[in-house]
Amino acid sequence: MVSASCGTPAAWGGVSATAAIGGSLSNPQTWLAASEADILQSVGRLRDHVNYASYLKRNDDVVLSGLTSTSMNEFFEVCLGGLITLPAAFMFIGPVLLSKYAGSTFSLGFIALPGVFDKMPGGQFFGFIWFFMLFLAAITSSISMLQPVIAFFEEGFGLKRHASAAILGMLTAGGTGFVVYFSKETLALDTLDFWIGTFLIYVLAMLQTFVYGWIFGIERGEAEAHVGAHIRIPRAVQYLLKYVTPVYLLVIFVAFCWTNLPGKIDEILAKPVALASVIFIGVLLVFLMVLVRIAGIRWAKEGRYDRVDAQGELLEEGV
Amino acid sequence: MTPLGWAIMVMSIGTVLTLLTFCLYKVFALPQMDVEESLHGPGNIDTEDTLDAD
Repeated sequence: MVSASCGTPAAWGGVSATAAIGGSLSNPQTWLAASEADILQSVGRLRDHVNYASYLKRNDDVVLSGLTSTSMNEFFEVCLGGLITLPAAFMFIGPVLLSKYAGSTFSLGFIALPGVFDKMPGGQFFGFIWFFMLFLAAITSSISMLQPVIAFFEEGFGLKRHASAAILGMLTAGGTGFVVYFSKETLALDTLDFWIGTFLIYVLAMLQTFVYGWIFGIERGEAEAHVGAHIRIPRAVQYLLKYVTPVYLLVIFVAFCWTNLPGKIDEILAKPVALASVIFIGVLLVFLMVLVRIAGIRWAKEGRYDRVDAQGELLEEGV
Repeated sequence: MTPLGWAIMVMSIGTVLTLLTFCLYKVFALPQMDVEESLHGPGNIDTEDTLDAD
């Protein structure tokens, strides 16, 4: 479990955040990458949790079970994963070469770690074990991330599971095909990895905290969370979510845009593959937003929103 | 590693470990429940997506 965790993006993200860019704390990209590593494990996973929580009954506990799974995940993937991966990569590869790989979480995992296995006794065996566990971790992680999309196609468009899985298969084949075709120097993968895995997931986290704190409201959020909860959330956490978290995320985001974004844009414009990757992300984003809009219209016609009042409260007991 | 580095590492890992210990304690200290009532995993959820599959 620990070994597999070391291979996760969170562990690599934390490592790259620390090792990247010489570990300069004055560089906003360091904070962006470090926050992303954490966000990926907590707020970023919300996309899955929202989906799975929809299958719970109204009085099921979410607070304790969610906090337990998150803290356990955080301990294994970030703490143990970071403790194992970073010192090992630092010791076997050295700070100079490490900083060369650190710009990409993918490069750090798939280029730096084989170097580590190459220099240790029984490296081939441990390397096999490592990447086999990483394969298993990736499979389970992929399923958990793809299931919400299948559920969206099924419930949003009334499709059968076969059709939903087929459409999702085509979408993912398009993305992976793009990465495989433009595999030289892993430029397409690195570009997608940064703009989706670091930048957009950060934007998503900002939106989620803003929506919770300022649109949904901490009063309603607190009341809703405590329905059937086994532990109480300290009141201070609500103020933290409303005032501190959005400001923290926003400050890092603005600092990143101010300091690093012009350079990132220049990089994209200088490399056609990187530009194509960003256009690919944009097209896919628009396509998915159109699908969400169509599904919303369809739900409205079916009268699904009639069960919710103007404040978003259920008018009848949910199942 | 510098003393400050040690302090930050111990504090961050200690915080997560304390939180995890607290959560596990609370989970295992919960009173026993009727499994049939509380368990509604995939076996009990009918998503109806396999009806008329073809």
